[in-house]
Amino acid sequence: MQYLARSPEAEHATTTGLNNRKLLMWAFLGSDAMFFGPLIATHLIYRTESLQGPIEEILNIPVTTISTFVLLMSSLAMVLALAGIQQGKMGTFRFWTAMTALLGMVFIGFQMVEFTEFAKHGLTPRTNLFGSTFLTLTGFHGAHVTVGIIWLWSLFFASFRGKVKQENSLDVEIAGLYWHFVDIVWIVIFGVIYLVGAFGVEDRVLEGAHALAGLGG
Amino acid sequence: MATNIAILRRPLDPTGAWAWITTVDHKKIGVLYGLTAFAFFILGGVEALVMRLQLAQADLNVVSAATFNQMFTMHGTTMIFMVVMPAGAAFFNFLVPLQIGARDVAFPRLNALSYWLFLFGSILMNFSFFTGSAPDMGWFAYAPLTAANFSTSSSVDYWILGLQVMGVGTLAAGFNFVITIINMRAPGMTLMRMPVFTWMTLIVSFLIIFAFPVITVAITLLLFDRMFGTNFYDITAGADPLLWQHLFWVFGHPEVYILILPSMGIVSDILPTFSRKPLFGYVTIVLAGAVIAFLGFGVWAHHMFTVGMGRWATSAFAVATMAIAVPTGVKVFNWLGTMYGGSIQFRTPMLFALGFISLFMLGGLSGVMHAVVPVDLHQQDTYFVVAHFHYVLFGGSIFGLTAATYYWFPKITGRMMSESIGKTHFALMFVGFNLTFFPMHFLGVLGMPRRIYTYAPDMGWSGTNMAVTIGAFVIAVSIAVFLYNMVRSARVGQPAGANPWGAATLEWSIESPPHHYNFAIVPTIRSQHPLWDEEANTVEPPPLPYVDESSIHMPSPSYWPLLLAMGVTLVAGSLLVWQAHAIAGLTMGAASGALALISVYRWVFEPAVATEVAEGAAAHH
Amino acid sequence: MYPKQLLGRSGRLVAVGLLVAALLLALSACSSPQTTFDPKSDAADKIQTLYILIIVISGAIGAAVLIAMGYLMAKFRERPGVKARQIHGNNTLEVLWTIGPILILVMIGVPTILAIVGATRAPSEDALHVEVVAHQWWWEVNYPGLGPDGGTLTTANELHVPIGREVAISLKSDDVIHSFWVPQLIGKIDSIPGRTNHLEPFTASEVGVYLGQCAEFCGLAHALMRFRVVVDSLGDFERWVEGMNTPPPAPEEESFLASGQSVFIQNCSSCHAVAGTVAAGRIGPDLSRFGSRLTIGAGIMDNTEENLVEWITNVTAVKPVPEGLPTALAELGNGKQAMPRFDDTLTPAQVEAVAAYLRSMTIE
Ligand code: HEA
Ligand code: HEA
Ligand code: HEC
Ligand code: CUA
Ligand SMILES: [Cu+2]
Repeated sequence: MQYLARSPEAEHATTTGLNNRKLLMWAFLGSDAMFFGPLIATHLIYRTESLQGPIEEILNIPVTTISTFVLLMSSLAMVLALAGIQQGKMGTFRFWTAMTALLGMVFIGFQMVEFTEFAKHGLTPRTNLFGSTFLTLTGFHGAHVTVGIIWLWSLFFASFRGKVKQENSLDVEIAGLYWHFVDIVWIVIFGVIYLVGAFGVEDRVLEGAHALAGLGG
Repeated sequence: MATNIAILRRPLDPTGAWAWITTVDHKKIGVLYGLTAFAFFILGGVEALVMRLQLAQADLNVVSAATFNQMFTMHGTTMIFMVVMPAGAAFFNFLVPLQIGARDVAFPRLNALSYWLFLFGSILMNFSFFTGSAPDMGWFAYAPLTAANFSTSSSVDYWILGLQVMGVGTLAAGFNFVITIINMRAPGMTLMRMPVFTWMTLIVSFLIIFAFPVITVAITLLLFDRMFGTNFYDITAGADPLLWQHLFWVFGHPEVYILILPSMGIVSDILPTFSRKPLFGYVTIVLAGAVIAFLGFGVWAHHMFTVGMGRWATSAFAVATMAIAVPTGVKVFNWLGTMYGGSIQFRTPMLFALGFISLFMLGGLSGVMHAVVPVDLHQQDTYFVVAHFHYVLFGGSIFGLTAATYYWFPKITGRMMSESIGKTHFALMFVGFNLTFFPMHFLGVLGMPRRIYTYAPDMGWSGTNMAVTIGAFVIAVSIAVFLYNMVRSARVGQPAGANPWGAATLEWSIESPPHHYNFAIVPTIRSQHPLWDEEANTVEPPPLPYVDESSIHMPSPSYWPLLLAMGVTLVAGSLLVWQAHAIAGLTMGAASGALALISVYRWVFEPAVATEVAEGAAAHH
Repeated sequence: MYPKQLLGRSGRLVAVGLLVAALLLALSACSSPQTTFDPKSDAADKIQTLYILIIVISGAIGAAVLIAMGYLMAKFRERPGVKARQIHGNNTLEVLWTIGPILILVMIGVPTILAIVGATRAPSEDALHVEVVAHQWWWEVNYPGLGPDGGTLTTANELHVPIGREVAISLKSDDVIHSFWVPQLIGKIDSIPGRTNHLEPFTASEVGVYLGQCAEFCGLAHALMRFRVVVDSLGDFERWVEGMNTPPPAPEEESFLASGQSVFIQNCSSCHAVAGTVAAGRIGPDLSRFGSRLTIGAGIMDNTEENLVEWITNVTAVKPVPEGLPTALAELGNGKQAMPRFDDTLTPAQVEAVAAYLRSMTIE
């Protein structure tokens, strides 16, 4: 069997000692960051450039703060699910995996409510630049969350068929990496799009800078 | 085996065409990439010849303006995405596992998927020729010309969807090679012992995974604009007319290094072999490659010097662009250093490698001329730029890949290519190349814009254009000679043996062509030149009687990559159908989406090594 | 050592190629009206200085590398009994050939930046301002303040500028991106919809007609989006402005020209304007004083009776303009339509009349 050491997709004996699939997930997330980057940049360029229709004032910060909190908690649940399976506690694992997925679903629920609300106020992807960029960006994020939810439920149900167990907790770890990443992306979106947008943070920073400059001169 | 459907039973030991269709073997996939790229090279070349006929003299009417626009768009797109990139991938696939002592890439089925996505994406885009709406807006597809109100046919949609499908495959390949090179090296194959080609593959793979998402976003937004009425590039809705250019070139410039770095790696492997001495300044050459890639992300706006960016942004991009000449120069000088003190054998691969150095260098110098912004205001969008990029793309990338073909052909087929025909090929191609592309500098200086299908007789361009056209046909003859050489040599070439060139790197330690499992015993590496430094220790020892081939289980062939790629491509195609006929499109989309989903599902639950094989092997022990 | 050995095979080829090429250039430069190497303005002069600098520098580098390569190829070719020296590198050399190029690039970079900064300066007080609006596939030319009563003087596809006076051209676009380029006078800058760009202010130094061409691919007839810049003496320029601003004499009633005018008013005025008449269409080029224009169809053919008849009869035979163009920018708001063919709406006689009418309006 020693000759098999390098056979492909071997779970063991890689050059770095890291699992191939785990590395793949890291590489994918790096790449995915370069996917969200331009989307976020586009939104920032366009956020106040719309010629008509509702823009940032339509954002409901309190509600989104709640959904952000929900998503953050799902990450915590994910950590607990992974800890569970790593210790072989299948019950813990199942409970927290389901929690993660459910919290993710709540988040998606919020997003669906948000989008329909916007549509009622006349904001769709076709309305104006804000609608195009905001809905595309958050839509792609929502799609990522949805993939994550499907993945988590697959793990959940597979665990009953004995396909997910302590020995391959790596499968869960990789899903966890993905989930945390999607969560982090949301934090960025929430910070940069919602908070900046709603409070005009950069305007105030600028005002502050001017005030300081005024004091100095 | 779970499935009962006979046709979809996992192919365990397919033969003939099935062996290729279901293969997950990196060597076979490499050959598929190579053959496909060559076929597209002929197609892209014929498109170029059509353009050259039209431009041979002033006021000709060989093709219409509309056809001409399709020709240069598809020529550029084909050469970049369907020729140079996949030809590079051909060598990544065939060589990287052999150069690092692995039995395959990290994810063999993903690798097959990459190939099929590339093939089907290319076919999807070229299919537009049959519907009469081939892409016609230039290979960088500037918005707002590509917006729905200015490009009313579906030509842009074909371009987007074809590129999107190919792009997914390319990304998958990027991941695969990053992981393979980081994680699949044989014991002792440290990073700083890797052949430079493998290094450049690693760097290119990183470029791919960071640059391709950006073009993915750019074309997705364009697709949304065109199909769903969003406003990203709609000037009338207040959109920024330069957004597309920024997104495209943030991808586009790294892309040109994706195209050139493989050839730089190839040349860095070939020069030592035929100079009979180690590469001069290996570490610097590797580092320079990394620096080029890194800087390559910071210079994109040199394609936009004429858009009116403001003086400081313009200056910064000019300086950053010039800076790339430094690491590139280091490479060129180190290649010359490699020749210094050598015992140079002018075999065909070496001739092409030398051709690469000289021509690429000239192209690089015209690149630096572009970086001189005021001068670029005269050169931009003229034949001077066309000359620049053919020097780097053809004189660089293609010459490098041709060198690689001559160099590794014996490893791939087990037979040598003919030296005499090879040298004829080189002479014709070198002369034809310079006859075609050097005069283009003058056309640029004389004010001939690119992408014009006709020009007036009194512009003073006719003679030079005729020379260019003649040159293009000389190149065509040289390509025919090349093709003949390959076909002939594959059948009656001299048997090559393991290491016909007396090269130093690991791939030459095993038979040609290699067994499907590459290395019977995984080698242990102790030096950068395993076949030169410590011959006795590191070359694979003569097959030992106890090496039982059946104990090596390689991943089994699979249908799912092919079917998944088909599903994805058909989903893309269904969008085009949907535009013409909503119901038909939706039906097709649902059906092909189902095909894709089923394929993913089956793939996930299919073990890499078929259970029969694994069990058989276990029983054997 | 004679050159054959010095250069090696490919070196020799390249050298010969370069020579032939240089000859070709010398031969054709004189007869190319769009050459970048025969500057006729201060701005183009500055570019040429830089151009020559960079050609000399990169030519020298290129030649040096090729010669070095040829030398190495000749000197170190395989010889019986001579073994390759196993050199792995040389740190001093590598440092040297990193620093060397850096120094050369500083030599190139500093004048580049200075020139960029210079080119983005504001025009001088008495500069002539011209606003050019690009359309698929022709150029609208406006002179703010030079029109009647201080209004705008409008023409198309042909700019008149005075010699010796600074000219500041601003660029807009009505549809897609175009690029405005007159090689002998000024480097190109793009015309971008929704934006206003500025060319470097330039002062022409020689009276003459200079060829320009759209340099950014802008769709089907991009190749045929050309134009002319006429550099006039100061007096000629004044006369031109005045001529443009004087209403054309009304053709004698019942005359051939009068019939041409009425054909024009009926069929063409929805798209074309002629100052001093009721024709005020803004969809196509302004045709005021068309008779004194040099070309037809955005610089693609000489302004002759025959060509004009051909143009009006069947424009698609000379220029690939699709029927029905996409809507243009609301902001510039002219709406958009391509020039139709008139072979089935007008009789040959009518076409001739309208052509004669247009050509009759000249500036003396
Ligand atoms: C393989 C592809 C490839 C490569 C490697 C390069 C390499 C370079 N390119 Fe090129 N480029 C293209 C492909 C490539 N390019 C394409 C396809 C386009 C056109 C796209 C389109 O419009 O369709 C383009 C266009 C393009 C432009 C835009 C021109 C315009 O549209 O106006 C510019 C501007 O700066 C540029 C610059 C450079 C530079 C500085 C390099 C440098 O990397 C070159 C560095 C190399 C050297 C300099 C030579 C070796 C060095 C020495 C011998 C050392 C000493 C040298 C000095 C001190 C100068 N390129
Ligand atoms: C790797 C990239 C690559 C390669 C190899 C080439 C190869 C060639 N290219 Fe081009 N080219 C581009 C990349 C490339 N090109 C790009 C990116 C553009 C910009 C597009 C745009 O503006 O959007 C461009 C644009 C471009 C133009 C400008 C068009 C315009 O602006 O109007 C021209 C004009 O002459 C041209 C010519 C050629 C020619 C003559 C060849 C030749 O060297 C081709 C030689 C190959 C053949 C001739 C193969 C045919 C072989 C046979 C016929 C053998 C017979 C055998 C059988 C049939 C079995 N190319
Ligand atoms: C529907 C709009 C439309 C109508 C009607 C129309 N034209 Fe035009 N015309 C155009 C456009 C648009 C152009 C610019 C075409 C180009 O160069 O691409 C043009 C160009 C021209 C030119 C060339 C102008 C130049 O600067 O070179 C002439 C001359 C001309 N038209 C004459 C006529 C005459 C005469 C008629 C009527 C018999 C007419 N046009 C009717 C739209 C129109
Ligand atoms: Cu306008 Cu090209
Ligand atoms: Cu570039």
